[in-house]
Amino acid sequence: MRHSKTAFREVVAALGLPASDEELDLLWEMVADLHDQTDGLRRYLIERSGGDPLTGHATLNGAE
Amino acid sequence: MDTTLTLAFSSVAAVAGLYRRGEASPVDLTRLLLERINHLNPQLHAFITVAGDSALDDAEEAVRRLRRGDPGPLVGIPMAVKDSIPTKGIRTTANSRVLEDWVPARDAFAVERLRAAGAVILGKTNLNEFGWSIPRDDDLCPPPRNPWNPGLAAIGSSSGSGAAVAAGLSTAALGTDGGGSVRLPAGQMGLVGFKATHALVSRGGVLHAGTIGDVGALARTVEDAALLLDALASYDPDDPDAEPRGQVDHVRALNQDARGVRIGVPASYIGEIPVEPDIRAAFDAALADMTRLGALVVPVDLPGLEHARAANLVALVAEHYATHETLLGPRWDRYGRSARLYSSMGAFLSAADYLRAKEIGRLVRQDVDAAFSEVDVLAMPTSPVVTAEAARQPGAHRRGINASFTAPFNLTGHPAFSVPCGISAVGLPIGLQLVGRHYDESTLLRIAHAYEQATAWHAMRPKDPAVVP
Repeated sequence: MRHSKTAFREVVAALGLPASDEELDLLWEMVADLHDQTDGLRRYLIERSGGDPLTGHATLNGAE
Repeated sequence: MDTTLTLAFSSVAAVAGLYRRGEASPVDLTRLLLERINHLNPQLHAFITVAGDSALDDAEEAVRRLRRGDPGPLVGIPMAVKDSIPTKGIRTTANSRVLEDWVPARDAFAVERLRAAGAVILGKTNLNEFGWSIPRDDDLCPPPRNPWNPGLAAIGSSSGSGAAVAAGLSTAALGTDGGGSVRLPAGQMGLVGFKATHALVSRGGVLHAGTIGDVGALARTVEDAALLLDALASYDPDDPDAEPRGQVDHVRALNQDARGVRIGVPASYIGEIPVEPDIRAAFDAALADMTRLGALVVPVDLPGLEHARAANLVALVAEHYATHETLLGPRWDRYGRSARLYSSMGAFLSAADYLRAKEIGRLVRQDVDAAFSEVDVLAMPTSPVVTAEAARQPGAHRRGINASFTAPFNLTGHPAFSVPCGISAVGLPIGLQLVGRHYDESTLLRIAHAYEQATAWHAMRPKDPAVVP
């Protein structure tokens, strides 16, 4: 789940994590890296299941 | 090396032989190692908690067992235990101020197995906080130094277990491995380290075991690894991933040579990873050695490994957050400055992200199993980089690049061993990883032992005068 940085700050606060501004910036970078990984995994599964990589229209088992 | 140092650096099998012949005593060895810990731990930070009094009690009980003729190979063997593995009556912190004063009422199942086998528990070893952070000097216990070069850090997360065995502070050690946390320190500190098939060694009671983590061990020889695996592998109905299986005598596998073993090398995948030149050279030399021993080295194509590495990371991050979710906010300041952020990342993963990661594990396991129809084991470097400092470059660390060769097999559950195969220009050892079929640790032990006996890497010791005067 990607967020704008403003929304990201709001989510961190809503989760009750008392992160400092410096920690928020670091966590933002870490989460961005993590989402690069999850995006890659989503693309891999779509390609592997024979789905459409443009629409992402596929299920885990390749069934429409 | 004088006699005392020789004893401190002896293998489990060698110590057991000395005990049987009455040439050494568990109490004397335990005292020797406690003295070495007292002398070296302020520099190396291998141990968080030293259980001196209870260790001597264990040693005295071992003396009684030996007098009764108990032939168990672990009777009186000094062991260190990673501090994320609970130990009854011994403080267990996971190197976090969150658990700074926790004294468990029960042993983890793996520790129960060690105690039943007669081992002496010396104390609890250092780790990245909760196994998932970049260690910092302001952690509850500062990061372990590498006994091979104390100017450099020991890689983790079972860094203290590796440092303890490598520095002659313990005869062997337990660790946990969710992405390479046993195999990476073993490789970097000249030790044999393994994680068996997922849940063959119970994770019962272990912090953060989740669906991926495993208990493993670090030792000085392949024979010691087999002895430890025989002691540790036992069905535990409290481990939800465990399967009841018959007991296997892994030591027997050591009697076979490497002739005819087919070794698959995922060359394309290795070529995509930025492997440091010293490691590449050591790996190529190890393959040549194994060819000379009669093994057949063949390329295999496993394109899914890259995705399994990333998927293992995603699953670990999600499961880590699930464990810490309710504690993070209220105890934010009790977490270390790195651990609190690493523990928070999973809040930003969706259920779909987690399920996709687990599905990739299932698919890549199929790919690896298919490769095992053509080969008996897979071989690759244990780590792409030599030093912990290189492994901990923030961008690479949080993407799990340092675990490129180890993490895929946590997700797929295959057993994997790291054995020493070289030494780098900065004086740190290099590891060779061997991966096998599910529940076929015997073939891994067979090829690892044959390689070990044909090379001298396992016999090397740190040369730093503070460690080996």
